Amino acid sequence: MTVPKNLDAQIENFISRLKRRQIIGSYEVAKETAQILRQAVSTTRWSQASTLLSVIKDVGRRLVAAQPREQAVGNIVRRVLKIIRETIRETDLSEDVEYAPAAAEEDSNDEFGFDEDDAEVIPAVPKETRDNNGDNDETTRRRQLTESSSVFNLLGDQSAATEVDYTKLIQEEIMSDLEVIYKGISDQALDHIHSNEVIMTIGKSRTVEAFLKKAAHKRKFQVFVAETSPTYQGHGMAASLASAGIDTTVITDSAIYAIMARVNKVILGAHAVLANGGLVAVGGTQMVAAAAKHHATPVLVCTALYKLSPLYPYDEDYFNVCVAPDPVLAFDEGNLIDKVMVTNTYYDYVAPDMVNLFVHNLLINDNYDPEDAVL
Amino acid sequence: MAPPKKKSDIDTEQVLQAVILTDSFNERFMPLTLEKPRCLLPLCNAPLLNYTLEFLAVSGIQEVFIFCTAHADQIRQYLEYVSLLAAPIKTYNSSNCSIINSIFIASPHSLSLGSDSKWHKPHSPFTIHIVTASECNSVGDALRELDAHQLITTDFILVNGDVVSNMRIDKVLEAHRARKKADKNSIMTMVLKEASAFHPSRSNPFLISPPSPNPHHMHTLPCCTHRAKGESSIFVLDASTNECVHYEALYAYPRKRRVTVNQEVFEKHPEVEFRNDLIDTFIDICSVEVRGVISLVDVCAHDAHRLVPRAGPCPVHRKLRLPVDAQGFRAWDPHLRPARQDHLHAHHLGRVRWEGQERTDLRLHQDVLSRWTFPMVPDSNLQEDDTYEHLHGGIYKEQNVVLSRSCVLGDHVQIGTGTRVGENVRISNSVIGRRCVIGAGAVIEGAYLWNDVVVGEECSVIGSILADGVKLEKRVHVPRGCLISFNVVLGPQITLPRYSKISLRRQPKEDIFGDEAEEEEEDEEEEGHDKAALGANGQGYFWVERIDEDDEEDPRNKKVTWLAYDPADIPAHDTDDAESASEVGEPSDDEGEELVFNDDFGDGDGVMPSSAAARAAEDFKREVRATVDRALAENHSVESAALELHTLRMAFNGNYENVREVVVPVLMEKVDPAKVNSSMKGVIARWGQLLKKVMYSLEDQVHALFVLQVRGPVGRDGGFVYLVNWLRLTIHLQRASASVIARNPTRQSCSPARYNSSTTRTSSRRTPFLLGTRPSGLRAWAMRRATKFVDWLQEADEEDDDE
Repeated sequence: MTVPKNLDAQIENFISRLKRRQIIGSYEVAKETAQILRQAVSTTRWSQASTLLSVIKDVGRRLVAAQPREQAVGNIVRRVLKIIRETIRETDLSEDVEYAPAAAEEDSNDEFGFDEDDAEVIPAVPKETRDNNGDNDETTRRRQLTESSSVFNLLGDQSAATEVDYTKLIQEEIMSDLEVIYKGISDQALDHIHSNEVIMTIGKSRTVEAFLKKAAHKRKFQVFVAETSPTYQGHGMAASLASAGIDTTVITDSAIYAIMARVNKVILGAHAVLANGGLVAVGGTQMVAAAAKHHATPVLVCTALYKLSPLYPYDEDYFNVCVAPDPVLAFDEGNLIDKVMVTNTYYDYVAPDMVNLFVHNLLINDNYDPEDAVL
Repeated sequence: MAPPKKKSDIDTEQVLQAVILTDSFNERFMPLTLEKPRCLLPLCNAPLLNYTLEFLAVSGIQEVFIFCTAHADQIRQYLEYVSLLAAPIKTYNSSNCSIINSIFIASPHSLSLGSDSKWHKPHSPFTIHIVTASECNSVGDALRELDAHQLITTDFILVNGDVVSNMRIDKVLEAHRARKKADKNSIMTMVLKEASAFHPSRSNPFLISPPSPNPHHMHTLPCCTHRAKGESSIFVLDASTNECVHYEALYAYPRKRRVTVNQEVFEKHPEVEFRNDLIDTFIDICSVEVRGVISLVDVCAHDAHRLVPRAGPCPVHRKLRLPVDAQGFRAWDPHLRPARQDHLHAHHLGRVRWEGQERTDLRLHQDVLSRWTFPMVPDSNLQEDDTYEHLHGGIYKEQNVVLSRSCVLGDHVQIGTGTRVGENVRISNSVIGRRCVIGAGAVIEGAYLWNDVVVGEECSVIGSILADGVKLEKRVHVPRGCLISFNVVLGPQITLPRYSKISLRRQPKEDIFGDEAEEEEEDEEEEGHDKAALGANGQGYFWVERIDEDDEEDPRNKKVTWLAYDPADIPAHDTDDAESASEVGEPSDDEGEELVFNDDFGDGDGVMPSSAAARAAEDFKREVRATVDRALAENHSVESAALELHTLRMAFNGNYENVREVVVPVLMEKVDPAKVNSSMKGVIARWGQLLKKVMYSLEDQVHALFVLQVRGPVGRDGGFVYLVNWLRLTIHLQRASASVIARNPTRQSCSPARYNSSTTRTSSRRTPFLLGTRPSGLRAWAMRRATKFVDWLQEADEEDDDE
């Protein structure tokens, strides 16, 4: 399956930037992935949905291979594939009233990696997807879309028309989601942060930053930021929080345990959330979580949905990235560096039992209006 | 479509160009570079050029000129790899000074073709031009060549084809532009990296203020000698602007004691820093003007390897302060390095010192494998068909590697796809290419096996490079520092000498750069391959280190740059000869009592190789000798002479033993042989205190006596007159001296018991050697005299006791 040249160039460009670590941070990565996939969907000529699926899969594989540790890439690819598949199923449904309910279980597998090559099978075997719990807004949107695409299908499967749909769909479902995640998460801040609380965080997570700042509009609380050696992202975080008028204190990483006794809530960001609920988060997070567990301090993780990965951490280290040891031991240290082996892991794995609560951008808020939280 | 968004904002106004010099203008890696250009030699299974291009890509370069002299075809082939190329790779050939070969093929590119190089694809961040020039011997030549083609239109970055760096050049570039705006003459920025106090190549920088007016035009300054393993350089920088006002390359041998700096430098710059702690990265940012300057003045290429400012007034360009006004750029410049952000200070790893300079080449592999070059690490899979994965313990494994159950992989091992590792193999700190076969029981340590290497059973490969297609039969032992070129077959059952270089091609008789005289002897003298040394099935020829008589370079420099070079392996006699030849002739001839800084001793390496230690001691003694001579000649006071000796000893980290070995004979030379008694009395009276200052314990006195015996002048009585007089006189000097005579062999047996006064606790541990070296008749005579003397002494002692 060939990809148009322009798109290919764009993909390769993205890949090499991923490899060169010119683009870091799951949000940026997710956004760019979504853009590329939207491009792929809109520029690919296809007559059968299966063709489109395989194109997207191909592109997705390449992107994931470029930087397997960036879970966001794979997640966005999966999301796009899911959208396409669902639409296919619904169009098929609308065409063909007969369906095979048994196929519903296989459906879930699709999401857990795109290893199985069932792309060709899909049009032939329509599946039931409008499952019982599909009562979120996606479903509504899909319902509208089903109607429109079925019209096109009736008109004889005009690919051009359908392309527009997918592009729009990706735009609506993924891109616009990405744009509002910070708002979606920080809107819940007031539910979790109360007046005069002492909060600890680590690293510089944009989500957490927005979360705390939002809460600071109404509440007064104190934040301890661990400096997060050796990247010292905590310094930037603290500066940002302080400029928003939050009472902020930077502590060394070694002081985390000592300070934890005074803290009554830990708010963390995550790079990715794995299938078992474990976190891949900036180095030092494990220490914070462990200290919190010892002191029975609740740990709250702010994470957007695109960070949820269907992969299971059989090997915790698989998701980690070893960066240059330079910040830990300077390269200039002459003979010393030949004698020691320095590992500078960028992330920590935090076991699921250390986390008490996840705050997502969707789910609750999509189903219920915040106004009605207390009846 | 899709211009790289991030890059374009670095430099919107103009295209950023880079010039890569793929030739290092030397022949150090010869057997290998005969068949493969240096920039395509692999580092961690990826060609060096790839790292350089990657570095430029990160830096946002849009146009790259690759300047080749040798093996241009291979470089082009590497960059194209498949005939389908979408972006133009233009080829220039300078032999007739015209573009003879422009390839513009825009063919549909198929993804399924796993292309080796991504650099010519549409998404490639830059277009690549290959410029070939066969007769080009220096950086200056190369730039002139480019200028002749009118290829360079903007500021450009000049790098060597072997730079591995994860530095971000854009900040440097900004600074360069800002500086240029401020001062038009500042047209070149050199990127230097500061080495820390612990860096092997570091010695203390020292600051000098403008010297007093000097009749000589040139100032001669003492400079630090350098213990870097190979060449390094001294940068003379203006302390306030960082402008590089002088540059001088240093070599390991002969050690340089002075740099000569034009006096003009001091007139213009109130404060100047001499630094040899700066590591040259061989990354320069040049403005367009450099091009013009170089075209006009052909003296700018100071040496072949480096474009440097030329010290001294340049007749053509008096208006430009210096032909190339280079700005020393230090990575720790505050405006350069955002606090705590690591994207700039990011450890440039130096060039890949394929010659094994400051970090031996094999080390460099380890540096990559220990991720210092992140993100340029194997598991980034920067080449498109790489499939490396990073495992625990710094192990990088591609897909489809067959490891036996019993093999042991130590730290820092990289294994390419298709390689099979047999039972009980041990591999550590090594890189193994693709499709290699490692036989059972082999040991591979610190080695680099390229692709398709076969290592037989129970072989050992240590600290060596085995190029593509090398085959080792059973039980071949390749010790440290060997370099086995393409397709050589060795064995079975041989052990190579260290530092062997073996190639299938015969070593050319002439200098490679001389002519193409190398090819012809393929068939003549077909006495076959050296079976005795290479084994029954061996194929290949030894290459020997050629030493040019007319080459001013010290041959030891070449040895220093050997692969995995071990300093202990420099032959000691060699060292001494050359050392004395180069340095004895220059005793302190100028007025300054310069303190010679010397780093040879204080290095943190712990064990000093014996030859190095011997050499150091020799140096030290020579200095002591010079000092004492001067003291005698200029009739210094004892105090000042002693102080000088002391300082010298501190500077060299020398010991008193060496001092005495020099001082005693020198003083004895002052004694008139005709009338020893009286003249010696005078000498001792005058210089006795100095002796006292270098002798503290009884042991020391014994040693001094020994020195007197062995090194002292030999009169008709075998020098014994000296000995006796010495003893008599030094007794007055220091009472304790009396005891030393107890070392006389005649009294050996009874000495500890009889001389029980506090001064006679001489340890008899030392061998009774004193007179053993003299002829027997003399010895008897001497012993008699000695006995008499000892008796006298004893009496004197007893008298003392009585009192």
